Amino acid sequence: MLMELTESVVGPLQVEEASVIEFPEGILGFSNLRQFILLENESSEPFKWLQCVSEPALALPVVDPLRIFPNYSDSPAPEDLVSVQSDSPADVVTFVVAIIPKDPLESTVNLKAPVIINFKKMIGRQIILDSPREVRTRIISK
Amino acid sequence: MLYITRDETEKVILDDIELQILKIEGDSVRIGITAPAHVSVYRHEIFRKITAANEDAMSSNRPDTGELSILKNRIK
Repeated sequence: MLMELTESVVGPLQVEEASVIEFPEGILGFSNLRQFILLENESSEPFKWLQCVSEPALALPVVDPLRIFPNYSDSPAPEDLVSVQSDSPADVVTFVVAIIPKDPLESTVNLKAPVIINFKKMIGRQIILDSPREVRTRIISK
Repeated sequence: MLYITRDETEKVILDDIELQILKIEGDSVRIGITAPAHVSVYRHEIFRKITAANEDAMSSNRPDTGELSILKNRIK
């Protein structure tokens, strides 16, 4: 079934209901935002947008951490996998949330709290890694 | 706020969540938490930092501004 978003990060949008990713706990600090779609937009690549369905004005840029840090090797804990109904890391895609300010060269990504998505079940969660990681890590070092 | 004084090894129960004071050492207190799997436990200061970062992420530069290209060119 098609859903109509009156606005989104790329303008008005029709979305297949099947492409909606459920975040049962919302994202951290926003437990009320539970449904997102992953928008790809050529002009944003490698950044994609986690577009909120219930609040179409809200979207977070996310990026495959390997695109920015080729040595990225953090992986979700077993209990994090369970939380997205997965038993294998292979089912799960990891993104990091980016902050792209007015001056894009000042952009940062959150390595402490990546977003994991199980596309087989269309369930996602923002997890917090135990390892010491920065919430705001510069993409382009000074 | 409710204030309760507890000694080492003593517990506090919040519905189905159990907090135990394990050790008091100088300025730090070690707490043991027993909670159902669906309960998330966070260190307050880390949770706040992440919440603030998520908020800032939501007011990121939008793709239509064209300014992302400056960043893209530097990534690859």
